[in-house]
Parts: sequence; C-alpha cells; structure tokens
Amino acid sequence: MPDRWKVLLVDDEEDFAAALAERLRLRGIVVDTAFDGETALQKLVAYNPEVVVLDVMMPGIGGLAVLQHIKAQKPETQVILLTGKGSTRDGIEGMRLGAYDYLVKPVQIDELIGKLKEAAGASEAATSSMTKE
Amino acid sequence: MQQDELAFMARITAGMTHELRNVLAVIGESAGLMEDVLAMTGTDPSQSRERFGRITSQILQHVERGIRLTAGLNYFAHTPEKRAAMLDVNKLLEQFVVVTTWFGREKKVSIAARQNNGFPIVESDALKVQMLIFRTLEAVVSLAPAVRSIELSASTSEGGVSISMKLGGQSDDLSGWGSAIREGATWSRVEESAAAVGARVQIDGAGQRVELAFWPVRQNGTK
Repeated sequence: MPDRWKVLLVDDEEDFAAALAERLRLRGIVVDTAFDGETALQKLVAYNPEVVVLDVMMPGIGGLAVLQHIKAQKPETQVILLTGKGSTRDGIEGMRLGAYDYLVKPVQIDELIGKLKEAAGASEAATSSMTKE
Repeated sequence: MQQDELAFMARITAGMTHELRNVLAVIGESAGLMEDVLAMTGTDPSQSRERFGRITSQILQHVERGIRLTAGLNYFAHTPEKRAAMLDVNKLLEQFVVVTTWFGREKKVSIAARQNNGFPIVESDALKVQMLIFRTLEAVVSLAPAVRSIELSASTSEGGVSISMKLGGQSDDLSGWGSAIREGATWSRVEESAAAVGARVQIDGAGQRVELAFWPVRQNGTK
C-alpha cells in the first residue's frame, strides 16, 4: 500500500462530510471532500485519490452514476459506497458495478478506516498490475 | 387505503427517514469529532475551545433540523385520519414543505411555503390533497427542468381556495413548458389527483405559475 494514499469523500450532506474528513485527518489520512458528483469527477483527475468514499443518494449525478464514471476513467481507483437507505439494494448494485465495498450510514470510524486501508491496498495492486501489462 | 395512497405515504416516509438518518449521521460524526479532539488535547480547554464551540453549534443546528423533520413526519403520519376534515391550508403547506425537503434536495429545487394573510380553510381529504400537490411538483420538476425554486402559497378568492406554485428559474427556459405537457402521462396523473378532490389545475401562459383551485372556502371557520 502506498505510504500516503489519498481519499476523496463525496457526500452532499456537507456537515457530515466535513466532520468525517476532519476525523480521518486527525488519524493521519489525507482527505479531500466533494459535495456533489460533478465536483467529485473533476477531483478524480485533479486530486487523483486511491480511494473514493461515495454517498449513493446525491442530487444531480447520483452515486451509482459517479461510480460508473470512475470505473470507466480510472478503474484502479477503489470506491466504497455509503448508503443512507435501510435497504442494501444500492450497495449490492454498486458492487455489481465495480465498487470495492459498501457501508451503511452512520459508519463506525474504525470500520471505515479498516475498509479504507484494504481498498488502498487493492488500488495499489490494481495499479501495479496495470503497469506490468 | 388505496394502493396509490399507500405508495405515496411510503415514498414520503422513505425520503424523510433518509433525511433523518443524515441528521443523525452529522450529529454522530460531530460528537465523534469532539471525542477525538478531547482525546488529543487532553483536558486543556484553551486548545479546543474554539473548535468545540463550532462543533457544538453544528450539533444544535442539526438537532433543530431533526426536530422540524420529526414534527413534519408526525403531521404527515396523522394525515390518513383527516379524510374529510377542515384543513388549515397554510399549516398543511408549511408541513408539506418539510416532508418534501428530500425531494427538493434530490432535484436541486428549493421548495418553500409563503404564508399569506387570511385563513384559508377547506373541507377535504388531507392525504389526497398532499398527493395532488406532490404529483404536481413532480410533474413540474420533470417537465420543466429549468425550475430552480418553487414557492407554495394559499389564498382565498372568488368563493374558493387556491394553492399557487410560483416557479423560479430562467424565465426563457420556463416559458412554453406548460403548453407542451398536457398530453403526457405525468400530467394525466396530476389531473386524476385533482379530480379526486374536485380541484382544477391551471398553468399560466408564461409557465411561471401553477394554480390548484378548489373547494368551497371557509373564512375563520364559517362559509
């Protein structure tokens, strides 16, 4: 896993994203935030994160559509979906579309960090396998 | 309760519980952040005073938001008890805006209620009236994507009560949608809902206002 992997946290609930980002930063994780899908896709290129934590329910381009764009543009980037719904349907659909995993909001910070580490490792493995090819 | 009424209640409830979950998620993360800061800075208040003040204020704002949402959800949950009731339309619109916050957010449209002078009261079915307003909103947002804001207000005139939806957005983009939509299935659902409560739906020529006109009016409880 890279030493300083980057996370992009995408959620239209701005206060949630800001507080969670601050908690992750306090634990030494490099995080940026985006509050809608359009900005997330811009930051995918400019910020180049290893892992994207992505809310499913967002105005404009929804989470699943953003996921599809990410996997088409940068398949090595790993996506962890956050679903606010009681149903796991979106999470399962997201996995089918290439998400690394999904978590139900509100998330436990330790569980999220565990998933972020795993996903960053998977991103590195995918990058090095693409380099070899 | 009819199938379409159940579906409507389920849709609104699902949207509201999603909003409430977001509120709880913000409060949870903010409390967790305070815990983290406390663990890092120990008991020295000077290091964390400003940060704690900011986080506490955020928590209080979201508690207020949660209270508004639960009040709206409670009002909505009692709607099926008011099948032939005297409805305070101002109150109904005020709560309707709360229970459709999620919809506005999803569609990037600001939905607000403006309280006019007067006391528009009608005798009708609260659930069906809200279904009509919601279906009209849905239709407007889907058929006129340039709409960025919708202001709801109630007024009494010419022996009836009218709910007005004032649409905001680029006026050039809004004009013309009204005449194009009457053929579609989306609008026929609106008209079905209107017929169920004896209402009439009108769109102004410039496409910037929709009026739901209906019911015998009662001023201060008298005809």
